[in-house]
Amino acid sequence: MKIDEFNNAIKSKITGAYELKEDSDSYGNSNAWVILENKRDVEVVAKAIKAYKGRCVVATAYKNEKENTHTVVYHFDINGTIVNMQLVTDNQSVHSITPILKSADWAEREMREMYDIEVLGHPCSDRLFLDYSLVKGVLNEYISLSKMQTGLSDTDVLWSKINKGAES
Amino acid sequence: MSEIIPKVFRINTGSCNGCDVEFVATAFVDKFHIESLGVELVEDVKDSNLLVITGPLTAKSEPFLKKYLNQMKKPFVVVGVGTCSVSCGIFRDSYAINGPLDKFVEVDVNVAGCPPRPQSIAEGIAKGVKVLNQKMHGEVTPKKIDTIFQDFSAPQTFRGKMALHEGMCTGCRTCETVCPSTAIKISKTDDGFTHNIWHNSCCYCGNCAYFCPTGAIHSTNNFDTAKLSNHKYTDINIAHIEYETCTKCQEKFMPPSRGLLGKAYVHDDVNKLNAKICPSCRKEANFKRMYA
Repeated sequence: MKIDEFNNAIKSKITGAYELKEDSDSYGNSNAWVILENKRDVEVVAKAIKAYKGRCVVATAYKNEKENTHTVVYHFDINGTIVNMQLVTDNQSVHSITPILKSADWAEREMREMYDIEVLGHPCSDRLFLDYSLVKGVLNEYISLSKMQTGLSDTDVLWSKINKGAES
Repeated sequence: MSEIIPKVFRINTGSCNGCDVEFVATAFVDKFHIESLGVELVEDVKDSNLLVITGPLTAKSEPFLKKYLNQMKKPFVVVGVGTCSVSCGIFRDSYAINGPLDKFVEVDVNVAGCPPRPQSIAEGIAKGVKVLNQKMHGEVTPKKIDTIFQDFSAPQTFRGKMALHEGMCTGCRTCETVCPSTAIKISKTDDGFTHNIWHNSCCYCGNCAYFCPTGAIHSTNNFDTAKLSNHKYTDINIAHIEYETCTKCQEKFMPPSRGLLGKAYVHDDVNKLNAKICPSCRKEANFKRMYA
């Protein structure tokens, strides 16, 4: 599949503005970036991926500085060509593409659980891994690696117990 | 005293399965002598009187553990197997962890290790059986039980409990920073530093030894980690790194590591270097030597 061909398939159906960039990695494998402005257009791209017998490999997200928004990237594969679809969520929600592409099921549920992004119209409302006693969006909190390595607790309760043990 | 049959039931509270694999080895390999204790593995928690629990107790496993504990008939003994069950190890402070185990149940014996060697697990169960016998006869749990199985030999290359060569350590805190399970704490004292390694949190990864610039921290082949729960906070390697007094200005200072000096001055005898003076006096002496 050629990127231009894919562009022709989506350009008449997309409602908002979008940007399409072509790129290749150090091995020469081609990939494309579709950056959407209207988040409803995810369904158009997903339908095009399905038409080309592609699949959703994974979806990634990160929290933006602007409150309640995330950048979400879906990574699709069409016969060896990677198509990345990027969008910004408003009000922490995206429209699910699982009804179109079943392969997005896991990634969308994971996104909902780890970043508290509501996936509208997703067929399954169950949690993936996290226990219901834990709050959604655990990865929204920024924790630096150095902090992570030296322990997250801000108290010295544990080590004061150990130091007391050392004295006894 | 009539003999009590210890009936073991194992619960996994979110373990990576490392400890569980070692437990299986312990239970079914003859050389670890577990059958000499008369232990019986049971399928129903209601029949058991000795619980072997692995894992850091994840949020998801908490209700299951509570359900099992409610079904137990008293008295019973709990043996926590693996560093995770003792202190949550590398998973401590995670959002998904509700442990350690002693928050929810009175633990009798802790077997640290990541995973523990089968000999340690066998030793932990043997100590658990002793505690069970005492509990069954209404006696108080002892403060200390001597080692039951004496077979604690491991190859020299085995990565067991960490230890420190005090003379080589400069308190640079590299080990403290790279430790993934926060098992090392270096605290400042008036005379220098105290270097503590908490064996009940160590995951034996060897990161500290790998990154130590002077080779002070190192692993030993000692893996005697099956201890009664009252030793949870006392199973520590304590080392004191003391300041030296400068022969010129009498100020206290941290002496440079002999190991590092040896690397830096390969052609000189390190002992003859002016190592007994503090950095500022050394600077002064060197400046005078070069420019005076």
